[in-house]
Amino acid sequence: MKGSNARSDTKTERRNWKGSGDYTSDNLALALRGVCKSYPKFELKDVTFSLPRGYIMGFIGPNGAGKTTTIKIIMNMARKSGGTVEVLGLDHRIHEEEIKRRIGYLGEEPCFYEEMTPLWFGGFVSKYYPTWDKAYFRATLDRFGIDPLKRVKDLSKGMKVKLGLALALSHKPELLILDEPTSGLDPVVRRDVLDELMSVIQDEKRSVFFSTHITQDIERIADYVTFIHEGRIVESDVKDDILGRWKSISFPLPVRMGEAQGSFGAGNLEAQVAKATAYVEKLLDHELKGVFMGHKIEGLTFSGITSVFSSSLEDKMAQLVGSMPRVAPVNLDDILVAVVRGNDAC
Amino acid sequence: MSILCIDDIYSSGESMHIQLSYSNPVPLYRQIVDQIKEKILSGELPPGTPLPSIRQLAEEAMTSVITTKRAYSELENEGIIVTRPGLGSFVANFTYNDLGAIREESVKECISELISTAKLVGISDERLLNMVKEALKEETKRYERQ
Repeated sequence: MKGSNARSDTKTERRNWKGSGDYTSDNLALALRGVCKSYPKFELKDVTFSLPRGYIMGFIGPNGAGKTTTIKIIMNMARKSGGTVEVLGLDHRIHEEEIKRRIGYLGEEPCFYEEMTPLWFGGFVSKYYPTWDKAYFRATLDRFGIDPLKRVKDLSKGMKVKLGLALALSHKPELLILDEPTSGLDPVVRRDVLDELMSVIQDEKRSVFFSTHITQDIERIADYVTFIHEGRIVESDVKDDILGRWKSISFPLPVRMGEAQGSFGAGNLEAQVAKATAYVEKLLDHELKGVFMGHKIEGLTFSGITSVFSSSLEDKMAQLVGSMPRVAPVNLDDILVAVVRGNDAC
Repeated sequence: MSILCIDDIYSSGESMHIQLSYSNPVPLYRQIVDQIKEKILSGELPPGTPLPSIRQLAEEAMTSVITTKRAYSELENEGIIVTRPGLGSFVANFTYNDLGAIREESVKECISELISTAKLVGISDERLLNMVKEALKEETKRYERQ
């Protein structure tokens, strides 16, 4: 499924805007190669993807797809059974201590001592980090509207997540790893979190990796998107490329209306539709084999979702079905659904 | 071109007011290119105007850095903006002649799209020409009424 996308894109142009062609592990914030892990009822298989420095990657999958397991392996909180993990160009086990100093992590449900205040937490966490920026921490609390002297138990869920984020950011980590930071939060708080992530990568050396099942959050700000389903990586690429390749395509069945209208019998029209349907089904088995992840024929219309859209596919389809197909953009949600349903169907 | 001091560049932080539609079939980077181009061709952003950095623009428009990066490199390829290493990106210093050519170029693009659509649905060249003439007449009438 390599990028055969976009009408006017020449190869050079693509290289150009994607940045310097080949990345060495040194300018990768995160690199996983062939990572495996098996549990009695679940396994991660050959998880491979990488995130260049200075960018945001969204890690999308349904619940139970392996997002948290992958993050735990990166963080060395769970042991992989195979493969390599490099964080900031360093092996995640050999250089664990250095890595932990240089990255920030916020887990799914941050635990706090309920009786203590945000200010106390700042002091507590700062002892572990030589690069802790006290002024930045206070300013972030301020920006988030968190009272530094309120007890944590009196903060709302959204405030607790924002406190977690302020604590994860104040040593100025080069890579921020977030596990479902926005799930269960209202849209206003989610927007605050996303704004904060965008301001982190204003420094082009800093990167963000975050998992979520809420695709709208990633839709806007992520540079790269990785889809995981049942422990396998389904897609991992520049978000714009993924959205350029995945399209919803529909077209009217190639029924010869002249003939159908020629006789008054409804049977004739039905026969024409059946003939056209059979023709389209045949195309799906031959000329268009493997093009659609899922499709349906309803009434006189075919619609399907593809991950290999290109203008040459569009032209080829126009020739095969006798009219220009209607091509519509899909969003990451549509892709997630197609990935999950498509695989289930197999 | 006048010499710009660093303050000028940073004061370019003013909003570009890019509006992105995620349901629009036009790719996001293209939407950015078109909107910036429009501001430049209309004179809202005169030659030499400093533009926000790729990352600033991404933050402001709440879109990805790769998207804005691609939009800028497209604008550079078209000669509409220039990027000076270490200083940032600026509206190119084109003359009025260039501006005319660029405007004409963008109309030509639309025309070639029009032609390929017409060919696809089987409209003859004469018919297309007539359709364009009719549309122009309609437009003139509407303009006069206003």
